[in-house]
Amino acid sequence: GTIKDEQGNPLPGANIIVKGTTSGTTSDSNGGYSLGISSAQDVLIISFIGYFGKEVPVGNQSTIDVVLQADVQTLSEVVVTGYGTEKKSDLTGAVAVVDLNKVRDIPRPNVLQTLQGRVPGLYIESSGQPSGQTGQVLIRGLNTLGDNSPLYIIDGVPTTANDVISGRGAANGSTTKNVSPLQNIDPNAIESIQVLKDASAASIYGARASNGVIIITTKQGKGKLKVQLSSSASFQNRFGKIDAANTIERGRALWQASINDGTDPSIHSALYAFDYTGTGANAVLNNVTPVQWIGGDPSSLTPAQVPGTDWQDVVYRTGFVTNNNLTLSGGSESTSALLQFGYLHNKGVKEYSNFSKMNMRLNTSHKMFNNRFRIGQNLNIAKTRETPEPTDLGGAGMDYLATYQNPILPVYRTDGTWAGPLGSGMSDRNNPLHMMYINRNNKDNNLILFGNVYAELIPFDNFTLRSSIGLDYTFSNNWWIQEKYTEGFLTQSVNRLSVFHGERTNLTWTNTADYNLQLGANSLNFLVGLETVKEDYKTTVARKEDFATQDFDFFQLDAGTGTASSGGSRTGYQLLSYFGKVNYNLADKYLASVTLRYDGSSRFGKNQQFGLFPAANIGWRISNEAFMSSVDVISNLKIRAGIGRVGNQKIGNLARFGLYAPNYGTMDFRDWYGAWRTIGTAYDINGNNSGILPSGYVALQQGNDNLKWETTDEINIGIDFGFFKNRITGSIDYFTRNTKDILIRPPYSAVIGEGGNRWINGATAKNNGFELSLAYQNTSGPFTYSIYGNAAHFRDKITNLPESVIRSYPGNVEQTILWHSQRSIFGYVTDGLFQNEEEVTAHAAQPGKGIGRIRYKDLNGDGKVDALDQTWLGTTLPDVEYGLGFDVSYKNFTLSAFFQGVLGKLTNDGIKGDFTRVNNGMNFGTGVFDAWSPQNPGSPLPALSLVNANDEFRSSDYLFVNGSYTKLRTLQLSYAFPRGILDAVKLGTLRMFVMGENLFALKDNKGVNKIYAPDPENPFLTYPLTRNVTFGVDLSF
Amino acid sequence: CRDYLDFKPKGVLSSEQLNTPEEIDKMVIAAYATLSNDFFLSQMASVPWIWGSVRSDDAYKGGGGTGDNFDQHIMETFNLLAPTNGQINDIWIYLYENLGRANDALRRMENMTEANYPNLKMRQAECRFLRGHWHFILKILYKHPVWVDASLPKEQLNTLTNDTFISDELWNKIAEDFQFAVDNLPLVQEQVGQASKVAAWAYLAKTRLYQAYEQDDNNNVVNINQARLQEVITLCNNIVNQGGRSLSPDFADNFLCGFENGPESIFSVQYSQDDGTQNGKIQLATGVAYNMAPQFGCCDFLNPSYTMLNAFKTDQVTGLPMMDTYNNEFLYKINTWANVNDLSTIDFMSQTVDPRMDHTIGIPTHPWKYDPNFVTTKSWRRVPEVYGYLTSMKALEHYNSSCFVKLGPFMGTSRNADIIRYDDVLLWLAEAYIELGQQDQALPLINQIRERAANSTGRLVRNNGSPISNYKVSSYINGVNCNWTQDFARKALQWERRLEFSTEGVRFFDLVRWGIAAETLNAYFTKEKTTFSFLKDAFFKKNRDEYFPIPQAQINFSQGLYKQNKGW
Repeated sequence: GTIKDEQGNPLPGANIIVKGTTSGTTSDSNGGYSLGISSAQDVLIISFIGYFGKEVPVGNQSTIDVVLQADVQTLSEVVVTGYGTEKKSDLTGAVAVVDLNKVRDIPRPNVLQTLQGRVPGLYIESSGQPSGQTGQVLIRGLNTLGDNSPLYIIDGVPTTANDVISGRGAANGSTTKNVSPLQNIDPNAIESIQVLKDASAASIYGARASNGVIIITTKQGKGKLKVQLSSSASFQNRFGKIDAANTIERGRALWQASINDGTDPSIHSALYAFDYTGTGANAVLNNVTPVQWIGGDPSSLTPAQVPGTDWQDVVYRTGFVTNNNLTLSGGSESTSALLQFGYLHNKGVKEYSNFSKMNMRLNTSHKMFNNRFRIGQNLNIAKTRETPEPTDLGGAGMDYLATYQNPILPVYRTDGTWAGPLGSGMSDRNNPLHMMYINRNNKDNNLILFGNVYAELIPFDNFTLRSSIGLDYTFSNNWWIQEKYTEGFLTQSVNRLSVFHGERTNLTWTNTADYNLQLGANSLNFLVGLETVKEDYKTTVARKEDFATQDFDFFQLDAGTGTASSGGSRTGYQLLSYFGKVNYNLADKYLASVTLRYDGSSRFGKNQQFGLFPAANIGWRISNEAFMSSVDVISNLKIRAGIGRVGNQKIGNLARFGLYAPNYGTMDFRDWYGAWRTIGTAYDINGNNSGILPSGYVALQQGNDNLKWETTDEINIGIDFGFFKNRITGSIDYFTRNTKDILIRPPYSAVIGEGGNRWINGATAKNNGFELSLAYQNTSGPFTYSIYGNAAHFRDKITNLPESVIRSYPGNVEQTILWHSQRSIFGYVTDGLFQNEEEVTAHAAQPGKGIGRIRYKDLNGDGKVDALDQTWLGTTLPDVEYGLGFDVSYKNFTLSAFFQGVLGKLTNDGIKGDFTRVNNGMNFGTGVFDAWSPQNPGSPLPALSLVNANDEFRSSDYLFVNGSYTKLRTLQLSYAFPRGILDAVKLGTLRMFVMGENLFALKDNKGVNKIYAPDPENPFLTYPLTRNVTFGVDLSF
Repeated sequence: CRDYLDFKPKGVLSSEQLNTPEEIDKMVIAAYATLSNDFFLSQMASVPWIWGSVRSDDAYKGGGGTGDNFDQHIMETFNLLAPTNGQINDIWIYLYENLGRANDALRRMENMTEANYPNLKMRQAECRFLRGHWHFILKILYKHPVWVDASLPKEQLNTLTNDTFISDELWNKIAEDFQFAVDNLPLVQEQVGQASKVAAWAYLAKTRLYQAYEQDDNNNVVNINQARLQEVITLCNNIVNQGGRSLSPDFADNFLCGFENGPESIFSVQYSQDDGTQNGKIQLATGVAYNMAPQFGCCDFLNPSYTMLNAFKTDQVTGLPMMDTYNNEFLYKINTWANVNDLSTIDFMSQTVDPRMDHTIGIPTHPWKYDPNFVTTKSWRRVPEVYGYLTSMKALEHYNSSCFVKLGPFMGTSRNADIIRYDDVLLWLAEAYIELGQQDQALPLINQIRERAANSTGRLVRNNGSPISNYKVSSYINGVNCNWTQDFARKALQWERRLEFSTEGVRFFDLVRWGIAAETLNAYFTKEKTTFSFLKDAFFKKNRDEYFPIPQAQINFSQGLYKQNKGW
C-alpha cells in the first residue's frame, strides 16, 4: 500500500511494523511499501514523526493504504530553553511557544507589536510609533515597582530594552525613548520565539529573569540554496478621529460657558460677536459671528477660518509602509549559511514624519573534525533613521495640538507665511504643521550591531563544550535643529543645533559544558556554565547657537557663531554568573529538572554582590502511562509543577554609591512638565553678569553598601492536554509570585536635602494569576479550519512598603496602597450632577458645588467632601486579556481573523476632562454639546464653565471609565499558488495576501460609561494606533 | 574572578574628597547658587509672586485659565487648598534643598580651624546668612517648619520634628544665624554677591519685625512686642547711618537692567548670561509672566488685580491715597469691553494717580516698560475672559534689554532680583516707630518714599513727551492734609507698602504679620467676584489660611513626627 497525509501527499520514510514482532519496513519516496504478512490476525503499526500513529488489522486485505493525520501539537518539536534545547513534550516549566506563522505577514519592525493578545500572559500595550516602539511589555503582570520589562535572549545573547536619548533630548536635557531590542531584528529572520513565564523555567537566567524571559532564535541555512522574497505595502490611517468643534461650535460653547458662569459673553469679543437674548437659564443664542481677522485687523494677515481649520486633517495623513525582504539560505552536511536583507520604510501618519530601517543578517556555521567541532556566528547589522516627534515651544505634542488647536486659526496667513496665534482669545500654542515642518530635518540615527561568534567542541559522545562571545552595540548619532521663527505672537529668537553621540557596548561571554547520560530508561542531562556581561555607555552632546542661514546644509557646529556648550558622560556595569542544570526523564513519563544560578552584579553593595537563584520542576506525562493507552479520547496529558527563585537588578549603574558632582548648569532642566528644576551649582558671586562662573558641587545620592538583589519566588502549576487525537489541545497554568527586597528609590523627607535619594531593598509584592489556551483544529473535505483562543489574568498587590514612603503612593491618610495593585487608581466617586438648588443645599459641604456640577459622594458621611472621601476605583491593568482567532483554508485560500480584547480595566478618558472646563483659547470635542443644561438634565457631563470651580479634574470615576474593548486585530485572506503552476514557472512557493488591521473596536458607549476618545486602548493624546490595509507577496525558489 | 565586578563610577566625587578649604569654598558657592536656582512653578523665592501677590489682593494668577497650574489657582482661591496639594510639597522640598546646601558646607567647616582655613568665620557667617534666609521663607509660609542646622549628620535629619521650638523660639533661631552674620561679616564685601554686615542687619531687622507681631496658636496677632520693635529701630538705623545706602532717584532704577547693585540694593540675587551655562543663570521665577505681545508670546501669568489698579488712585486735591473710597469704582471697567475697540471711556487724565501705577501695571494704551513706542494693547492678553486686561511689568524685562533672555516659550532676565531694598528698610523703620507710638518719627520716612515716587515720572511719558497718566502724589503733612495719629499713620504705612511693593510677592506676608489677612482678603473677594467668576468660590478661612499646611507627604515621611498646623 501507500502512506499518505490528509492532503494526499505521499509520506516517504514512514515506519510500518507488525505488532508484537520486529519485522517491518519503511515507505519509499512515493510513500509505497510492501511487507510479508504471516497471519490475518496481524496488526500493522504505522508511525511517522509529526503524525498520529495508526494501528490497522490486516484481515484479508492485500493492499492497505493508510492516511495519517498530522499531529498539530508537535510534541517532538524542539524548544530553545536556557542554554540548550528540550523537546516540547519534556517541558516542565511555563513556556509559551509563539506560533510565528500566524503573524509573519504583519508588516512591523518589531515582532512584539504583532503578538498582542496571542500569547497568554504576555501583555503588550501597543503604540502606533513607526519605529516599532511598544508600550509596556509585561510577562505575567507587574512584579516589581521599577522596570518590569523582560529579559531578551537573542541567539543566546542576553539584552534588554534600553533608554536611548533622542536628538531632542540633546537639546533640552533628557528626552529618552525606550527601545526594545526586537525593534532591530527583522521579523523575517526569526525562527522561533519562546516566552519563559515562570521562575522555574527562567531561573537559569537567574538574576535578571524576574520579569520573564523572551528567547529569540534566528534562522539558519539548510538544504539546497533557497531564495525567498517577501514584499508588502500598507496603507495606514490613524484609528478614529476626535470629533472636534468647528469655529462656530466653539463660539457657541464659549458663550454657553460664560452664561453658565454668569460672565458677560462679550468678553470673547476678540474672536466672536454673539446675538442673544435673555440672561441666565433663559438666555437664548440666536447667532454667532466670528470676527473677520484674528488679532483685530487685516494687518494681521490672519483671516478667521469658517467653518474652521480641521487641525486633525492638517496634521494627519495616510501613511504608507513598504517592507521588503530577501533571504538566501542553504547548507551542506558541514556548512550552512543564511544571508538576509531587509528594508522597511514607514512614512508615518503624521506630516513630515518618517522612519526607515535597513538590516543585513549573516548567520553561518561550519562543522569540522568529523562533526566534533563547530564554529559559527550570527550577526545582524541594522541602521535606523527616524524623524523624531517635535513639540511646540511650550512642549506640547503634535497629537495634542491636532485636537486642541483653535479651529479659527488658519494654517497660513494671506501672504503664504505660517499663521500663528495672535491677540486675545488665542492660546500660546503653536501651529502644529509649522512645528512639524521646521522639524523635518531632525534625525535620530542608530547603528546597531548584534550577534555572536561561538565554538562547540564534542570531545566525546554526549559531551559538548560551548563558548560564545556576544556583542550588543548601538551607536546613536542624532541632531536637533531649532530654527528661528516668528509665528503670530510666538517666537523662537535664536536658532540652535544640538548634536548627540551615544555609544553603548555590551559584551557577553558564555561558556557551557553539557553532558547527556542514558541509563536504561533513565535519561539525564547535565549543564554547567559561566557567564560574564560588561556594559559601557558613553555620551557626548554639543550645542551651538546663531546660524546665519537656516539652510539644512549650513547647520554644522562650526558654522554657528553664538554660544557653544557641551556635555558628556560615561557609565556601565558588570555581571558575573555561574550556573548549572540537571534534567531527568524516566521512561518519558516522569520528568524532573533542577537549576541553580549564582550571580554577581557591580550594581550591588560590596557586602551583597552575589545572589543565589535555585529552581526545581517535576512533570508527569500521564498519557504515557500504560493504564492510559486504552483511553482513546486523551491523546496527551501532562501535569507539571515548578518552584523557583529569580532576581532583578534593574537599578541605576551607580545606585550603591554616595556621590557628588558639579552641576554647572548645562543641563539645568530635567524635563518639560513636572520636572523642570533648576539645580545649578554655579553663581555669579562677582556680579559680572557674564563669563565663566565659580561653581561648587551637589549631592546626587546617598550610598548603600548593603544593596542587594531583589528576588521573586514563584510557584507554577500547569496542565497540558490534547483530546481526540489532539484536535483539541490546550494548557492551563496557575502561578503565584512573591517578590521581596524590591529595589526602590523612595522619595524622602525633604529636610535631608538634595541627594537624599537612596536605593534600598524596601518593598514586597504578590502577584498571581492564570493562563488558559485552547485550540481546535479539524479538516472536513477541502476545508481545514481552526479556532484558537487564550485568556490570562494577573493581579499584583503591593504587600509591604516602608512606613515612611507608603503615602507617596496613591491613597490618603486612612487608606494605603497596601494590598492594591501599583496601577490602582484612587479617587472620588461621583453621584450624578446637581439638578437644582435643593440638591445643592442638601448635599454635604463640597467646595465649588452648584447646579449642573458634579456631585461627589461623601463616602465617610462626615458632612463634607474632602480627601478622605476617596476610594479605590480599579486599576489600569485589565482583569482579563484575551485573544480569539479563526483560520479557514479552502484549497489554496486561507482566511484568518484575530480578535484581541481586555476586560475590567480603567481608562482615563482624557478628552472628557476638558468638558468640565472649556479650555481657554483652545478647542474641545463636540461632546461639550451633550453637557448638562436645564434643557438637558439627563446628561452625565457637567455644565460648561470656563473656571472649573468644582475641581472636576480630580481623580474620579467621572474621568476613569471602563476601558474594556474588543478589537479585530487582523483579518487576512491569502492565496497560495498550486504546485502545478509553481512547477511550470520553477518557483518553490508563491503566495499573495491582503490584510486589514484594527478594522474595528467595540467599547462602552452608553451613559456615564461612554468613552469619548475614539480609541479606548489609547485614549490619551499620544501617538495614535493605526488602521492598516496591507497587500503582500511572498515567493521562493 | 570577583575583581571582575569592580566598577569605578565616572565623572563624580565622593563626599570625603570635598573636605579641603578650596573645595569648601566651592560648596559655599553651591549654597549661594540656590538663590539663583529659580523657576516659575515652585522655585520662586527670588520673586515670590504666587506666594505673596497672587495669594493677596495684589494680583491674579493669570495664564491660560484656572486649569493652567491649577495648584496655584487653588492657592489663589484658598477654599480647595489641602495638605496634599502637590505644589505646597514642592515648595517645601525646594526650600529645604536650598537650605541643605548651606548646611552641607557648614558641616564640612566644623572640622576646620582658622589656621588651616583663614576664611572660616566669614564662610560660616555667609552660610548661616543663607540658612537664615531659607528658614525665614519657610517660617512665613509654613509657620512651623523644621529647624535644620549642621549639628546632625544628614542621615539623622529625618529624626527632627517641627515642634521642637515654639514659634517665637524659631524666630530666635533664625535671628541667631543673622546675628552671627552681623558679628562676622564686613560692612563691604569683596564680591558684590556676598552677604555683608548691612545685609545681615537688614535681615535681622526683618526677622525681629515679624517676630514682634506675636501670634497665638490660631494665628491671631495678640501682642506687638515693643522690645523687638526697639531692636528693629536700632538695626535699621545702623543701615541708615552706616550702610551707605540710599533711595535711587527714580523708582524705575530698581526694575531696569544696568542699574543692578545700585544704592538701594541691600542684598540681591546675582544673575548672569553668556556664562557657559546652556541658558544663562537667569531669573525664571517670572518667566511665565510676560504678556502675549509678539515680542514675547507667553504666558501672561501674574495679572495685577483691578483692585490693585484702583489702589493707585490719589485724591485730586490732596494728592493722598483714596484709602476708603478707592475701590468704589473701577478705574478700568471690564464692562466697557462690550465695545472693545473704543478706549475713549477710560480716562487716566482726570483721575489722578500715583506714578508707581505705571511702573507696576501694564495697562492697555499705556507704554510698557518705559518704551513710548511699545504700547500695551488688549490683544496682549491671553484670556481676558477670565483674568481681565491688566498685565504685570516690574520683574519683567523689555525685549530690547541686554538682560532679556528668550528660552523657548518662556522668558527670563539676567537682571538681579533684590531680596532686600533700602525702601523696605525705611518702611520697616517707620512701621516700628508707629507701633511704638512714635508715629511722628515715621512721618518723614514715609514721605521720603512718597517724594521719591512723585519724582519718578521721568520715564513715564508718551512719545510726544506728555505724561502717560495724570500723576499727583503728595507728602503727608500733619494738620494740613491729614491728622497724623497712630491709627492714621498705621493705615498710611500699610498703604505705602502696598503701593511700593505691589506684585513683588510681599503683600500677603504683610497682611498676615499685621493680623488683617482674613478681613482684607474676604472683602477683596467679595468685591472682585462681582466681575471675575474665577473668584466665585474664593474664601480665606481665618485661623487657617494665614499659613500653608505642613505638606502631608512630609508628615508621612516623618512617620507622624511633624505636627500639622492649626486649622488644617
